[in-house]
Amino acid sequence: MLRLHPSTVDYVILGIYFVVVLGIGFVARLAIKTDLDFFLSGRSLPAWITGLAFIAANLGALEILGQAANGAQYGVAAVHYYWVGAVPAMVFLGLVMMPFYYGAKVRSVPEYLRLRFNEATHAFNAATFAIATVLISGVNLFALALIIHLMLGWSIIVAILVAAALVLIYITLGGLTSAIYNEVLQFFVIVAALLPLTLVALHSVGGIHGVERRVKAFKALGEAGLHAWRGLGIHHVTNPLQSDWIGVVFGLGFVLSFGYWTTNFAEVQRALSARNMSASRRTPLIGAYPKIFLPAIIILPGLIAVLTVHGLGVGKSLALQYNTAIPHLIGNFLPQGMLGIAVTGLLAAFMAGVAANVTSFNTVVTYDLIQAYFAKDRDSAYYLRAGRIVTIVGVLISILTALIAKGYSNIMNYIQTLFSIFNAPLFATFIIAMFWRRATAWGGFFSLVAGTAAAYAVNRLNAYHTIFHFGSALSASFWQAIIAFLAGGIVLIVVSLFTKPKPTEDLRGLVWGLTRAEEAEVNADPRDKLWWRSPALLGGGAIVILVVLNIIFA
Amino acid sequence: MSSTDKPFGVPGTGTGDEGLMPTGATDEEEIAAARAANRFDIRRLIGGLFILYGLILVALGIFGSHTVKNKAAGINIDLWTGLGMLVFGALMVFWALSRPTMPEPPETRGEGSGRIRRAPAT
Repeated sequence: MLRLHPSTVDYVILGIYFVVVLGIGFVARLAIKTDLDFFLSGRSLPAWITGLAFIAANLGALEILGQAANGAQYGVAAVHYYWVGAVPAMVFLGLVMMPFYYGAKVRSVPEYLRLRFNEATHAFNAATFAIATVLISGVNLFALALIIHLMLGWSIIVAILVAAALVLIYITLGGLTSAIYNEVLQFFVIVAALLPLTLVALHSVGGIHGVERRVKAFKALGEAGLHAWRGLGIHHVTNPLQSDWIGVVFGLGFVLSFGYWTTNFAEVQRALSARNMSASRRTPLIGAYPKIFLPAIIILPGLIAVLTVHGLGVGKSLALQYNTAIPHLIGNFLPQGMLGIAVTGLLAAFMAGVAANVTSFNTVVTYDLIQAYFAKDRDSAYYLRAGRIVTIVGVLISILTALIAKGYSNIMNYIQTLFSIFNAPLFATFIIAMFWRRATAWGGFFSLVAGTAAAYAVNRLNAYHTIFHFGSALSASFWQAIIAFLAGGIVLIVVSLFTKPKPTEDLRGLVWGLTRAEEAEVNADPRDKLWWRSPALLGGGAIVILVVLNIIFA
Repeated sequence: MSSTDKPFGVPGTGTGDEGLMPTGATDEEEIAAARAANRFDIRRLIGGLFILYGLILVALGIFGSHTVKNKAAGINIDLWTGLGMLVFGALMVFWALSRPTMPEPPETRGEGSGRIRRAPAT
């Protein structure tokens, strides 16, 4: 059985980290009475920090365990998650959407929907967002519990309960400040653990050529496991993803990816809090560069794990799930010291993940649902108390959803299923609403309902093998996203044509082409005119690197 | 010091239009805020943590058992990663000290103080 055996020095390394992160939150609150968002908001630090925070917000359990699991299960084709499924959307956000978001002064996705459509749309979105958040929170909690299980050998159920208790303590003690520091710090610790681990693992199998030779000889992957773009022909699907290029390009590359990166509250918020328009546009563009190269320390070790760990992904046991690819390598290669760094990075990342989920669940339920619809006009102490109760309830529900996540050998497949149900319809509604001023209030509402229902229906029909048969869980999530997008889009257009449009004046600043009166640029910085700060150049550069890499790994 | 004299990014004002806001803060309060901002600079934090971790790893890499030195396919991974973390941590601290978030002593403010420039006068 897979076990990590941390020694005293490893626990010291882990202890130092949490003392630093919780301590900084505590001391900072005493020293400064205002919120400590200033370093993240990029008003004083270079844009690379906001750019890093942008991808760090996404580099949680899903990424580290899930993408490594994808590397193990699908081979090189898993890079599509980065090169098709993330970077183009990040560039699009920086070049096209950010000027709109920033200029329209919209602070969140639900807020936009309330202004653009109506309260019903807002309430529906807030409710589905709350559900999606506790489901994803469960994934992070499960990942946290998995590491505790591997370290201490406790049963996974006990580990989930302990992890939930730890998260509650962490949120209560550290507060928002700790969470923000932790988010950026964990990124560096994770890289410090994964980079040496990958190099050592690569060395042990005889370098890149060794990997190639062994993948070709490996029955589950073979030659196909080395290529990103082969075997994607319609009706001639032979790649490990078992999806054709329409699923990859339109499902993953367009609907899922754009839906996630351009409407996800946590992501967009990083860019919205930047110092000025130029910095906000550069935030996702700068984040795109490290994102391009992350597969090297996440997917590659996953691939090496499936070659070297006997029976990975084959058996039903928890210790042989694809999710354990990285923990297996850690156990095989890292001595005391490095083991401590790796365990610290993983625990910090998953802790940040659950904390972020629970906090946004708390915000949406308390302010977008309770305050907006159920208990209006109470004093602030009431909402504060409600918020605390919602936080505890959120953690309790996460314990249940962690048990759902436990059932998936590859958590990334589960996550993609969730995204295809909750994010894809939202993207359809959002993109049409932004560019088509004729879209009406009820059009928006029914579009969201129809898209979500369609994705869920396809998911169930596929699960019971009725009507739809998709090659793999991954392919199924691509197609669910596509169908949800189409259903949401068609309903929006049809309902809009039969209902009364909103007056143009109400749409000012919310729809493309209907800007507010010209306002002076806030905090304009003359140095933003420098050629190397040009968003078009930064975005173009990322795309060029992307194309070259895709050709190399085709 | 007038409020338009401040470099952008003073913590606490938060809206990005400091030039228009009467802050009501005294000079001492501003200096204290600047000190705090520098003390909690993420670069110092990363640098400090990495230097500490680097020292622990290098010590293990030198004084550790045969297993510690050879577990990673014969490579002394603690030693090499520790050295890498030391270098990275030192660079972060050096960067934070040479270009602080906030200028601390008042005389370094204004023109010629590196990256910090005046906000456009209103």
